[in-house]
Amino acid sequence: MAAGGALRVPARTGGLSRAGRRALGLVALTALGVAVAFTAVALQRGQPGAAGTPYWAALLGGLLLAVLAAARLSLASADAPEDPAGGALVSRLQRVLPVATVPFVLLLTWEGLVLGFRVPPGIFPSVASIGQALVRSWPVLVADAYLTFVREVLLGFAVGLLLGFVAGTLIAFSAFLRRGFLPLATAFGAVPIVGLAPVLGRALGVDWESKAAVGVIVTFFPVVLNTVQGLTSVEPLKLELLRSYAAKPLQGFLALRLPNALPYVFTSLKVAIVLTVVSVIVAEFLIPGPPSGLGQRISLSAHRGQFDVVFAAIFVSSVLSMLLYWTVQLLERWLLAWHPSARGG
Amino acid sequence: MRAVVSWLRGSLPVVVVVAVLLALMYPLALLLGMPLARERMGNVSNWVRGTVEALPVADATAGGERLPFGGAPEVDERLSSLERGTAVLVRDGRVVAAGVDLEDGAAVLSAPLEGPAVTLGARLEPLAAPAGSPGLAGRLHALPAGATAGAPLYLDGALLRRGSVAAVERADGVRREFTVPGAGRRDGDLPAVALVAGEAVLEGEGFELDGDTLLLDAPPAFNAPVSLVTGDYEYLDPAAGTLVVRAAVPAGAELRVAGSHVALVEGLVGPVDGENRTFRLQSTPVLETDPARVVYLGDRPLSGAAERPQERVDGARATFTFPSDRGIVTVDGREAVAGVDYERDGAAVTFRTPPPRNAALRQHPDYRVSDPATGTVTLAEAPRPGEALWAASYTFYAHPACGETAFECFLGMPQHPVPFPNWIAERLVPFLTAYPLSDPRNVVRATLYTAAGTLVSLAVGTVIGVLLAVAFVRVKPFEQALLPWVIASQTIPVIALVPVLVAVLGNLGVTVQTSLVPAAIVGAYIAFFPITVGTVTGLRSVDPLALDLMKAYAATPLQSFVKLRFPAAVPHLFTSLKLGAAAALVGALVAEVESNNRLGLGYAIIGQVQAGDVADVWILLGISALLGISLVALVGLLQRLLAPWQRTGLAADQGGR
Amino acid sequence: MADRVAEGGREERPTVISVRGVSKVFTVGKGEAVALQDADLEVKQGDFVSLIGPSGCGKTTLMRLVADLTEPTTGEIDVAGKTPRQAREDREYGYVFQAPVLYEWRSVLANVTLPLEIMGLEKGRRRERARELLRMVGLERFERSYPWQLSGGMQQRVSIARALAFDPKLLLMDEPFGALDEITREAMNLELLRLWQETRKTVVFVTHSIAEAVFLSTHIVVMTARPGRIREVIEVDLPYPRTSETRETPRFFELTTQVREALRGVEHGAAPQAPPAQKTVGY
Repeated sequence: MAAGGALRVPARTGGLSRAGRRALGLVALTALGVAVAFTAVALQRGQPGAAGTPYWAALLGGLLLAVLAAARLSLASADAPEDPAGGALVSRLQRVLPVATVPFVLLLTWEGLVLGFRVPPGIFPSVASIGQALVRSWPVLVADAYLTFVREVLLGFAVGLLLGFVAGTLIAFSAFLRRGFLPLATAFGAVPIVGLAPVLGRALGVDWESKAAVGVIVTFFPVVLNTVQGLTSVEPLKLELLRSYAAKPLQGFLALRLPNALPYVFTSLKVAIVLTVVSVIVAEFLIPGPPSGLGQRISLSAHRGQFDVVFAAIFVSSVLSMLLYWTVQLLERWLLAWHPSARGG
Repeated sequence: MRAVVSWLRGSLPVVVVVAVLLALMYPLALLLGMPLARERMGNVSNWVRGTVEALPVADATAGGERLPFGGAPEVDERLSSLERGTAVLVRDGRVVAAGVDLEDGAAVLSAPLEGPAVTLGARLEPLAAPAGSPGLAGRLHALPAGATAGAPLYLDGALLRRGSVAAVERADGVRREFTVPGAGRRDGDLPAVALVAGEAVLEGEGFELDGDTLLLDAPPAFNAPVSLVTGDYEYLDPAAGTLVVRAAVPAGAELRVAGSHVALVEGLVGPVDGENRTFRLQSTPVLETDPARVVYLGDRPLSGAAERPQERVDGARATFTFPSDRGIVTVDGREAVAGVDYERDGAAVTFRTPPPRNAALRQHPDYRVSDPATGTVTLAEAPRPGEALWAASYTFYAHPACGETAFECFLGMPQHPVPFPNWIAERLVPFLTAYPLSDPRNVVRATLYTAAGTLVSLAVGTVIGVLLAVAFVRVKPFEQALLPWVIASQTIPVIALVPVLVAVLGNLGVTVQTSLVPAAIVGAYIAFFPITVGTVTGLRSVDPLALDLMKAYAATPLQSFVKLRFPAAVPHLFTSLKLGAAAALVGALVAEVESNNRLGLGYAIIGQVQAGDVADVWILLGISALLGISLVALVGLLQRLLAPWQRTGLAADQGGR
Repeated sequence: MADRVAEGGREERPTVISVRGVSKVFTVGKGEAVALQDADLEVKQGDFVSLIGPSGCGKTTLMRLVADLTEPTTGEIDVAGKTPRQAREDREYGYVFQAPVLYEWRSVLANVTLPLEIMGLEKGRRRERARELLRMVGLERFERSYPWQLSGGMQQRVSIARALAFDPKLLLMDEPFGALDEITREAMNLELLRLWQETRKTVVFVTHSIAEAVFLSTHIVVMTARPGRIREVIEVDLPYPRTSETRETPRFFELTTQVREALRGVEHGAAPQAPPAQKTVGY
C-alpha cells in the first residue's frame, strides 16, 4: 500500500491499472444510474397524468443499476500488490461511494414512488415539496430550533451532566449511597419518557422549563451510572501505586480516578445527547404549551396535515442532533486521544 | 432467619434512600405549590366579598347623646376599625350628625338626638312550622305587609342581625357533605339552622354539623343553594318576606320591623376643605364596578356611573359628547385635566390631541374609584367644608376564599404541581379500581394492553435487528453502505413520524385507534437498532482461535455460524434485548398516544396531562416504570432459561430507556 | 566500582529493613490462609536481595508488608529505622510493580513526574528531575510519547525511572521483568545492575527466575510455600561488575544449583536425592 505519500500516479504509460479503471468505471455506472432515475422523476413531474411504463422502467432500471454498481465496487478487492496506487484508489472509493449512494437511492425511490402513484400530499409529501417547505419556513424553523436545541436540549444536558457528575462522585465515595442509590437509578432509568413528561409538565408548567427538566433527568441517569462506574473501576495496582506515594485522597481523585472515569463519562454523554434530543421533542409533543419549539411545530403541522413541514422540521432536528453527537465525539477524540478506542486499538 | 436478616440489612440503604426521596417530596411540593397558592390568594377576584352597609341602632329604646351600635363580634370589629371621627349618623337618607366618634361601640353625639332613635313599625307574623320539622316552631316569620326585606328588625328592642354563609361546594344532586367556612366558630347552645333550596332546616331535623362540615340527611337537588345561618336571622325568600330566626321567638315577644331609624354609616376619609377631591373608602380593596355602591354627599346620592361618549374613538376625532355636562374625564383609566388636556363646552369635550384609537374614554359625573386597591375615590367637585361625604353601602373584598393562610390555600388548591406522597398512597386503590377490569378505561387493563403491544413490537424489532445484523456481518457492502445511515436514522424523533404513519395506515384501511400495528411498527423502529448493534458485536466477538478450530474441523460456513457464532452472540443479544425492551415500550406508548388508541396506557397518561389529579399522574408514572422494569426482568428470565451459561456482568446496562 | 563482595564492610552498614517474627494470615471464607509465617530478615544498605520461591511462598506478601501496602498479623518490621507506615509517608522507598502501571492519559514524562507532583515539588524542578531519570534509563527521547506507543520493556523502564523519582534509599521490585521475554529480560537485568551501581540503592527484588536472582543479587532469600516461610538466605559471592559472561561461569552454575536445591527442600551440602542432572551450563 502506498503509505505516507500522496496518491502518486506513477508516470508511466497506460495510466491506471485495471483495478483502478474498473473502479472508476463502476463509479461512472452508479452515477449514470442515479442520473437516469433522476431524469425520469424530473420529467414525470411535469406530466399531469399517471405514470406510464417508460417512467417505471427508467426509474427502477436506473436505481437498480446504481445499487448494483455500488455493490460491485464494494465487493471488489482492494488488494493490488502490483499497483499500490490503484489499490489505494479502489479502497478510497469503497469507503465513499456506497455510503454516498444510499441517500440518493432512497430519496429517488421515495420521490419516484410518490410521483408515480400520485400520492396526495396529505398522506405523504414528496421530497421536492419538503425542500420547498424547508426554504419557505426556514426562519420559523430556526426560531423553533433555537428554543428546542439551545434552551431545552443544551441547557437540560448541561445541568443534567453537572448534577449527574456531582451525584456520581458522591455516590462513588459512599458505600452506603452506592448500595442505596444504584438499584434505584436503574429503576428510575426504566421510566419511559411518556410517563415522565406529564409529571414534569404538571410540576413545572407548560413552558420550556418542563422540557428542559426532561433533558436534565434523561441525561442525569446515564451520567450518574457511568460516573460511578468510571470512578470505581480503577485498576487496583494504580491505586496501590498512589498509596506507595503516600498520596492524599484528593490527589488520588484528581490524578487517577477522574481521568480514569473520563472515557466512561463520555460514553454516557454520547448516549445522553441523542436521548435528550429525542426525549425533549417527545416532551414537546406531550406537554402542550406555547407553539414554539421544533416538537410543537411538528405536532401542530402534523395535526393540520402539513406533512411537508413535518418532514422539513424532522430534517432540521436530525441534522442538529447529528451535529451535537459529532461535537461530543470530537470532544471525546480530543480529550481522550490516549484511550484505546480513539486509536482503534 | 439469618438470611432474612441479612437481606433486610442489605436492602437497608435502598430503603433509606427511598424514604429520603419520599420525604423530599414534601418540601418540593411546597416549594412549587406555595407560589401558586400565594398567587391564588392574592388574586382579589377569588376573595370572599363583604358588604359595608348602614348599621341600625342596636337598641330601639336608645336616644340622647349615646347611641349603641355594637353588640355582635363582627360589628364591633368593624366599628373599631373605623377611623376616628369618620362615623356619620343618618336617618332615612339624611345626615343627622357627621364626624361622630365611637366609644365602646356607641356613637357619642355632641348634641343629643332629636326624637327617638328608632320608630318601630308593625309586628312580624309568625309562621307555622312545616310538618316534619317541629323544631322550627317559633322560628319562621313573615314581614308585615308593606315592609321590605332589608329594613331592620328588633326583637324586644334589640336589633337582630342578618347573616348567613354559603357552602363552598355546589350541590350536584348526589353530594350530601358541604363545607361552610367559619361554621365551626359558631358556639353557644343554639341549634344551627341551615337553608337548603330556600327551605329552613334545623340541626338534627335534616342535617348534622361537625366543625365546618355540614352533613345533610338527603342530597339537595342539582344547583340548590346551601347555606348556614350565622347571624340572628336570614331570609328564606326576600321577595316574599319570609325569614327564619335562629333562636325561637317566644310567644309574646315583640318582633317588629323598624320604620324611621338612625343608622351609622362610614364616612369617607379625607380633608373636606373645599379644594380636596381625593377621599378614601375604609374597607379595601373595593370592587371597581359595584352596582351596590351608593355614596352620598350630604343628602344627595352621587352617581358612580362611567359614561361613554356617543362617538367612536377612532384615533382622529377629538370632540366627544357625553350624556352629562360635568364630571371627571378619563382616557384609558388616566384622569384628563380640564383646560390642559381638553376643553369642555357643556356636554361636549374637545381634546387637544385626539385620544388613540379604541382608547377607553369615560366621563364620571360625580366621582370615580381611581384606585380600587386602596379604595381611593376622586370626586368631580371638591366638597365644601361642613359637607359630609359618606357611603351608604358598597362591596369590598374581605378575605381570600381559599383560606386565611397561604398554606390553607395551598391545601385547598384543586391542582398541585407535585403531590404529597401520602396523597399518592390514598389515591392508589381508588384510581386503579375506578373502573371494572372489563372496561378499557381500567388502568390495569390498559397496562396489559400496552405490554402486549410492546412484546409484539419487541419481537418484530428482534427479527429485523438480528436479520440486519447477520446481513451486516456476512455481506460487507451492506454494512459499509448502510450502517452510517442506520445510525443517522436513529436521530429522527420517532414521535414525529407517528402522525404520518397514522395517516398512511388509515388510508390502508387500518383502524389505528384499536390496532396494535402502530405500536408494533414504532416500537420495532426504536428497538431494532440496539439489537442490531448488540448482535453484530456478538457475532464478531468470536475468538479467532475458535474460528480456526472450526476450520480445522472442516466445518461448513453454515455449521460454523450455527454452532459457534450464533451461540457466542446470544449473550450480547440478550443484553441488547433489555435495552430494546425499554425502547419498545417507549415506542408503543408513543404510538398509542399519537394514534389516540384508547385501549392503551398512553391514552390514560395523556388524559392526565392537564386535567385530573396530579397524584394520578404520579401513579401512572410508577406504573409505566414498573412495566419497563418487568419487561426487562422478563428478558432476563428468558436469558437465564435460554442461555444459562451466561454470567451476568457481560456489558453494563446503562440505564437505557 | 567498589567490590561489594567484601564481607568486612557489611556489618558496619546500617540496616535498612528489619523483619522480626512477622506472620500474615488471611481469612478466606470460613478458613484461614497463612501467607507468611514467622519471617525474619535483615537487609543492609547497599544489598541487592532477591526473594525467590514457588507461588504462595509469601514473597510478594513480604514485599507488600515492607511497603505498608498491607499489615502484618504478628511481628515487627522496621524500614530505615521507622515503621513501614512512617517509611511510606516519608517516601523512603520506590515500588515497581509486576506491570508497568503507567497512566495511559499521561505522557511518559508526565508519568515520571506523577510522584513528584504528589510530593509537591514545583513544576520546573519536577520536569528537570524527570528528564534526568529518563536519561538514566535511556528513554530521554521518548518523553513526549504515550505509554501505548512503547514496548513492554520500555514501559517497565519508565516504571523504574518513576520509582527512582524520590531518590529513595530503598527500591522494592515485584517481578518487574516477569512479563518480558528471555532476551529482553537479560538486557534489562544488565540495565538494572548498571543503575544500581550508579545509584547505590538498596534493592529488594522478587523473582521467579533462579538465573535472574543469582545474576543480580548479593543475597538470595529462598522461600517455601504452604505455609510461606523463609527457608534460607544464600549469599552470592560473584564479583561485580557482572556481565553476560558471568552467566557462563562455573560458580554461577553452582549457585543456581544451590538455589534450586534449596527450593526443592534439599539442605545445602547434602547429596541430591534426584538422579544427577545433566551438566547444563548457564541456565
